Amino acid sequence: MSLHNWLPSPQKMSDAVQLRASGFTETTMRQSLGMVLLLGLLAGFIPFLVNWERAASVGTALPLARLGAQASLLQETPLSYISTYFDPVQLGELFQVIAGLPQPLPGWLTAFISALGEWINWPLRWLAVWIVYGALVMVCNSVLGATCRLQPFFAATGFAAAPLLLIGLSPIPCLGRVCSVIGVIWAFIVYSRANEEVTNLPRLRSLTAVTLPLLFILIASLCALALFVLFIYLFAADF
Amino acid sequence: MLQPENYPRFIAKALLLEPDPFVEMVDDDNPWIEGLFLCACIGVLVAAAQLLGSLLLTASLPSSDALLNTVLQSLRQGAAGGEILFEIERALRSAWPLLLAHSGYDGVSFRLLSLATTPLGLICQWLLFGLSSHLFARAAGGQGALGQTLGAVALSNAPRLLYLFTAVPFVSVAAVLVHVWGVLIAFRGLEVAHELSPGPAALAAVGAWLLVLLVSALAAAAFGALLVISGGNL
Repeated sequence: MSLHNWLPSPQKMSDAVQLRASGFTETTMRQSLGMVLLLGLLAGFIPFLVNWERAASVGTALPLARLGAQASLLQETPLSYISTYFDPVQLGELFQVIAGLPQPLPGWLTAFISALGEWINWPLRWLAVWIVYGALVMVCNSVLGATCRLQPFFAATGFAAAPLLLIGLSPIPCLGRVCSVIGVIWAFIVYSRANEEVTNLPRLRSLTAVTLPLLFILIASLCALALFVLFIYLFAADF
Repeated sequence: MLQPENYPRFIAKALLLEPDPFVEMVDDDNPWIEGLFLCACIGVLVAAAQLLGSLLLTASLPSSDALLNTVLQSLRQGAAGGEILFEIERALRSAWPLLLAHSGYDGVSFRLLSLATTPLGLICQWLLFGLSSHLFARAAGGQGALGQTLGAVALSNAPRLLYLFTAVPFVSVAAVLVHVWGVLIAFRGLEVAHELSPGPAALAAVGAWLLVLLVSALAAAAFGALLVISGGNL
């Protein structure tokens, strides 16, 4: 089991992010899987360090440290529309009290474990996007007349993870957000190029196949949000 | 004959949608027994990882009683009063054990129970998925036997091994990833076991998955209704 079996060569990655056709061929799904996981871990490393430091400075788990940080924001923000049921100042105080509650493990260890968990979530999220979004795109590809198989498709589209590495810079103030936006747009372009290359569909059809799942996810998310808001409204009206 | 030593190789190749593990499963003398044992192994491993994750999560957070008391104390000091406060407190108190059981936070005893229930649940789900996908595949013109389908479809549980990461607290594995990846593996399995072309195999895999989803949703709704009727005290 050599590293070569689990990762494409740096030259392939370089070709793919430069949208060269040679970057998307002769790669296996195994190599793409390795690349998605490794790049996800690399991208999550700086956020991991930042999260660990943030949680360790409070001496608690990361979610509670975040809750504590939200408390001051909540107390400063005028939230009159929810204050019928919750007093923002009191809610902020509650968050601070919860963040200060003692836990069995030492603070630094709790901080490390929670930040580690968040770090592991990075490659898992990338994997989810790669597989789930890929499955939806493959359905659209088939409907639009493509005949390619799953393995070469996933092998080629895995290269979209390379530009996503820029998201790892997100903790840097201002610049991080710009880098994240660039990374996402670049990844989408690489993904579209990979899909076009592997399916041999005309550019417009290939782009349609890549875009349709986004619209589907957007509509599904809006429906879910509307249902949630309706549920909250009915719950509040009941009281 | 059981070949557990081959399972890691089968699982790795199934995750990569390669046909070899399905061919070996289908050609096995007892594919459904291999499938049954594979599902049980995956279930036990996942449950053990979740138990460890639950222990670490409980040690990483304040005690659940202290947390609940803090929230309730804050509610009592809030703007809400009388009947509303009573209703909120009652709802919170009845939902709290469910929240703990679901998250694994301060729910070690529940996780101990899941050492038995997770493999059993996984086996039931595999049987239902296997039977329905076999019926769908046969309807689509497939030639495989039920035992071969069960053996091939058992490998669709391979993505559940991602739940091993939940041994680290605060790791969350998207259920949609596990399900979609599982359906893709089942699709490959049905292609091999029933010698189907991609279209019918995909329809059989998705149809069977939708059926399992429907049954699971009905079971969850029935459990929820039972919970509401009993007033949160089952």
